[in-house]
Amino acid sequence: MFEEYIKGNSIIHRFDPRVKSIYALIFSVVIALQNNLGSTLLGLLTGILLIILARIRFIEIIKRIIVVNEFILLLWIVLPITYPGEKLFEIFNIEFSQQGILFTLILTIKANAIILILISLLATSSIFEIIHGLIHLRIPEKLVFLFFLIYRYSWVIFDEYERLVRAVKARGFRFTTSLHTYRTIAYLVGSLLVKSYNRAENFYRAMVCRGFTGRFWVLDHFQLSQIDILGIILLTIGNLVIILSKWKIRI
Amino acid sequence: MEDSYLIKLKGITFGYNEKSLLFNGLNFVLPEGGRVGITGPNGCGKTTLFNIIMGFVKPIGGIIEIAGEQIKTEKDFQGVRQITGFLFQNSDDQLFCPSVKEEVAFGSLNYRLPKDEVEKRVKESLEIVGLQGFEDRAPYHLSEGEKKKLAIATILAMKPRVLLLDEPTNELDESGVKSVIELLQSNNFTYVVISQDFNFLKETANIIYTIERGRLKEFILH
Repeated sequence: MFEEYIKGNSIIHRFDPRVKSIYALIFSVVIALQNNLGSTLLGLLTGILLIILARIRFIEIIKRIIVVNEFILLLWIVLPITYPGEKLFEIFNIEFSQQGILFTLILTIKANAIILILISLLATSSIFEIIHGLIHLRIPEKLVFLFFLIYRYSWVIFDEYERLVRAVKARGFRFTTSLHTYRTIAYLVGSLLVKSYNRAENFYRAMVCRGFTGRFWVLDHFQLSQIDILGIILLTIGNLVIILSKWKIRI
Repeated sequence: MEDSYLIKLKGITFGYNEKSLLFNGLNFVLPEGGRVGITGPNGCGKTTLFNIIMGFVKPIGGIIEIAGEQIKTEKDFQGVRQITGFLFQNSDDQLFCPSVKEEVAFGSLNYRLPKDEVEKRVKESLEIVGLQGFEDRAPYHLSEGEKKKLAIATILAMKPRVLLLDEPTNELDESGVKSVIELLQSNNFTYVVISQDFNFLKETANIIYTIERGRLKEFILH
């Protein structure tokens, strides 16, 4: 899904996926817990810095960010007029509160900062590097492989869905707001569920055929290098700056 | 205890519902080194036959013997799966690992083979199917033909005594079909292959069966 960023030789690409996975989580939690504009702006700055270090072109990132911000736009429509606080301005008798605008702005910056950090840290590793990293971090294997299988089979199910849609369109179907459309969509979803179930069954058989007994073994193992130590230091500093700025920066 | 045959089915009776039986006293013998082809119309039970051998569906009656041992319990079937390489009709059902290398290594790792041996088998199997250099690719991004070749490599890496190949050429182009024929002809495999492609079966099987009225019947090519 974000696999176009996997290839690269930047410092971020060379970090151990375990380090990147842990810090992606830490950064996300730290930024999500900030409630002042200065700290969240620092989080956004960190995200931008990591994207630059990962040598990902901003034009590609902007397309992703626009999708995320489409959802945030809904918050901008609702929060400034419903959040209690001092009136900042008024349009057609609708009052916009200062606190509401500030709160929505902080949420917007947080969301964008987290998405930039996740792209720079997680999308620069292949899915199987992340999977291996998580296994080596002693995350329960069943959980890790559940995550992987969801990722893996979302492609297959999506392909299946596209095939079904092509099949109905080939027979003259058009999506409209009619009972026929709703019934057809229900058929599509039902068919997709049945196909998914069959695939899941076949997939389990394929695993059993090759000696699967509930444990996933990995072939290659990771080792921390000097560049990873450097990464740990830099990313820890980044987190500490965001946390400490809560007391030092007031905007 | 080993016998000269690898698979022996005696009087297999099976049906997905009680009213209509798919197999009614089906008998089948695969000798060591045997190359058997199975063809027949859709829904006649070709894949079900493989599923019975692998223990994925249980027959109503009959005896299954693999390598001289009668197979009854799930534990017995685990032993069968260790010596049997089952190629699925749809490669997407068979490939689930994040990389080609992991995919081929999966079976050998499950049987706790040493890392050196696993890597050797991965290399050898990928060479046999012509997928050298694909080790780090994601299986789900391969073409259908490449997926099929990879699925074959995954079972070859387990060094099975018998191969059950369900439509091994159905997603392959002409050169892909040719390479599967070469693969089967140039190696000393014991296998049962299901196919609708008579030319393919003529090239790869010593004897061809079709399923008629719930039983196997020798199919004579004219």
